[in-house]
Amino acid sequence: MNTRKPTHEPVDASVWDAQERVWRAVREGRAADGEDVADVALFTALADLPRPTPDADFAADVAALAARQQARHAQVRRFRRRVLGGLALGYGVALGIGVGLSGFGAWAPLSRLFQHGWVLTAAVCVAAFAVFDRLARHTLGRPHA
Amino acid sequence: MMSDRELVQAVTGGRAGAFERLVRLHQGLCWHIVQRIVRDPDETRDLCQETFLRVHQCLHQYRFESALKTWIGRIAYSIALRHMERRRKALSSNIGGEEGQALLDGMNSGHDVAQAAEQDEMTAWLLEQMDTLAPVQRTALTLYHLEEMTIPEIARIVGAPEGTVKSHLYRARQQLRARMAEYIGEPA
Repeated sequence: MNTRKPTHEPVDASVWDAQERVWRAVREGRAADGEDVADVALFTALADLPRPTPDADFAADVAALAARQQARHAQVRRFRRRVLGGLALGYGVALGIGVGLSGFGAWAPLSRLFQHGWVLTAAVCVAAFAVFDRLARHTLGRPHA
Repeated sequence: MMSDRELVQAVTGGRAGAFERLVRLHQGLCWHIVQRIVRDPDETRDLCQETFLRVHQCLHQYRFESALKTWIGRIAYSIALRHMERRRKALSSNIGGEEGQALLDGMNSGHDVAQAAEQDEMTAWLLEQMDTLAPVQRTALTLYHLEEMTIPEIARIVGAPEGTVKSHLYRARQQLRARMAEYIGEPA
């Protein structure tokens, strides 16, 4: 048997239906004759409440802000791609030169890192990327609202 | 009139003016939800701006499972609630629990009333009464009666079961009805 108490007060269906009738009448501008006077007064007052309105420039301001934010994000992404591409290219060229000059011993820095396991390798890569990312955002100005 | 799908596709496709159009279409709802919770015009503007920037960032995640206005309403509601939580924490850590809460309550009530001073007496009175309701009751009442949303839509926005929303709305109406009866001199 379910012994849990309901988490909300039960709704009296007859009261609810009567109030809905009044609300519909008020909304449609019909007379709610014979209905509860307090309900009619309440729903009329609710229907007449002024709607809060944003200032006229709000939508344009937000749209401009969103466009600036999007442009800044794209700029950061582009910068990140270029620097990472440059680093990869630089490392590739240096490695190529190293291999050309002194054989496969040029792999030494990477292979030494791999010897300590993939967790350390991953941690070093993540830390390096975090530093780089922070620098990139700092250089370009952090995208903000 | 563009459908939700066409509008979202226009925004995500980067069509000029599409996002501004989306904001214009839904800013009223967003304002309603946020203002009923925070009750401060400046904060309302900032939080609505935050809401639409979030919408802009996350629009590609919208799956058309509910109406766009419900999805935006949900974001506005959670941003406003989080803001109130932060404000509550800041006040209670600065001043201390009960005193902070009392100040917060004092700060909240009367804001709309002051704004409505130039409007008619009934409007000012009703806004004052609405201010005494719990935030979720105020939100349910506002969305149902002023935005004319359905109970399932409100339930999606506040993240509660439909029965709970209906109960909040019922309780809010009963409380206001009793006060209205007293105000107009009718037996409750």
